[in-house]
Amino acid sequence: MRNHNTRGWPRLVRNVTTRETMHHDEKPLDTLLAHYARGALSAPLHVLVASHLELRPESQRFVSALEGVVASAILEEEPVDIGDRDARLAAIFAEDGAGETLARPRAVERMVSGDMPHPLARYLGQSLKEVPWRTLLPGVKEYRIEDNEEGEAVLYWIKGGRKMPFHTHEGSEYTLVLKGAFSDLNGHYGRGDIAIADADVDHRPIADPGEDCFCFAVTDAPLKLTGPIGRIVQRLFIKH
Amino acid sequence: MLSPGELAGLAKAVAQSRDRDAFARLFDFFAPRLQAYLMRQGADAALAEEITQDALTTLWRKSDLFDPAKSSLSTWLYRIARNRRIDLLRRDRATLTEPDDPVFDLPDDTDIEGDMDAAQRDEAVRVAMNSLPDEQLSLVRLAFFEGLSHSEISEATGLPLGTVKSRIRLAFTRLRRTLESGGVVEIGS
Repeated sequence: MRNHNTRGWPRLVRNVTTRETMHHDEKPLDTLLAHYARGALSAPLHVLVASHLELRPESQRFVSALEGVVASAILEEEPVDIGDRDARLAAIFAEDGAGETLARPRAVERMVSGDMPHPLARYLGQSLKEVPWRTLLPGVKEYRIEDNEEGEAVLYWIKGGRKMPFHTHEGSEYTLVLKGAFSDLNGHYGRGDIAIADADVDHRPIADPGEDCFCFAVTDAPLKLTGPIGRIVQRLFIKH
Repeated sequence: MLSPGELAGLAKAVAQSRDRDAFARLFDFFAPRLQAYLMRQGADAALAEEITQDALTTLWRKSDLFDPAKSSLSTWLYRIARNRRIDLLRRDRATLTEPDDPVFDLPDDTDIEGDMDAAQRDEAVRVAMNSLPDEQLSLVRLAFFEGLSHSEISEATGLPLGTVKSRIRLAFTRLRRTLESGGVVEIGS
């Protein structure tokens, strides 16, 4: 069913001059990092990028430079009047008990494993072993964490060598590899990498043979399965 | 205006001796500015106050986690406020990142030599931004500083959405490359 891929092309270049679309200097990851630095991402996407930063130090410098720029801009703000300043200070000083915060880190450390970065552990609230997986296809399990009008956040567990169903999505899809590796039309992705698929790109990730692949995927609009199996799966399981 | 060194010194006094006077100075410095920034970004007064209060409470409770060797206090506090804002927009308002997490200790070291202060680092980013072609820079300004979405920029400029997206992507990739290569000076001059 490879013709699905070629069929996706005319739609991919919609509204864009060919020269600009084909520019290989264009790395959507850097734009995602910039939006993260600025605080412009949805909660699950913010978690996805924070997890990437924990796993991939080479992205940190760019992000911290941009965070520094925003921080400096804040210092340039015209200060507003803090009317109840003394009461607010008193409220802060009253917050000296550390009981609540001492318990939290331990709970998170329990969930953080070699495969689970801190931000994702906090977001998920459970370890990969505790996740209530549901079989989507033979060799493909998923756990839908969030699914609403703003998009969805899903964990995938793909057996080595297995393919994901064909799908397109209305928004972009961002997939962070937690363990193992997969390939799609755009490239090969290992632990800590983020694969970014734009709207209307019909792609089919394939897990590397051997090791199982665990991914955290966030879309900014509902995902639609498009292959023949995908259509059935969509009808049976993904109906909202 | 307190210098980055003075701010770090006050944070140290808070962390080591729970110095309330030192904290009050940090509060008086950051709260009015952070709250102004958040309101300019579209938060209403109540939300801006809540985020600011939460961020400064975290500073009071967790100042021992701040490491001046890794980032400036204003960057550290900004990260807390930014993340708290995202938490508070969620239904359960749960905390998604804590300053205990490694992601809070991102090195703030754009310069390879390690002798650049925050002002010089900002200048490096500014120079790198100004080295972008005009058509990219204007879109980056709208996307990054004004916080417009790609569709809003497309509407405002009359450019097709795909062009907006593509130019912004090119710009951020180029910005990152310029900053990481340390080639800011040659390109900018």
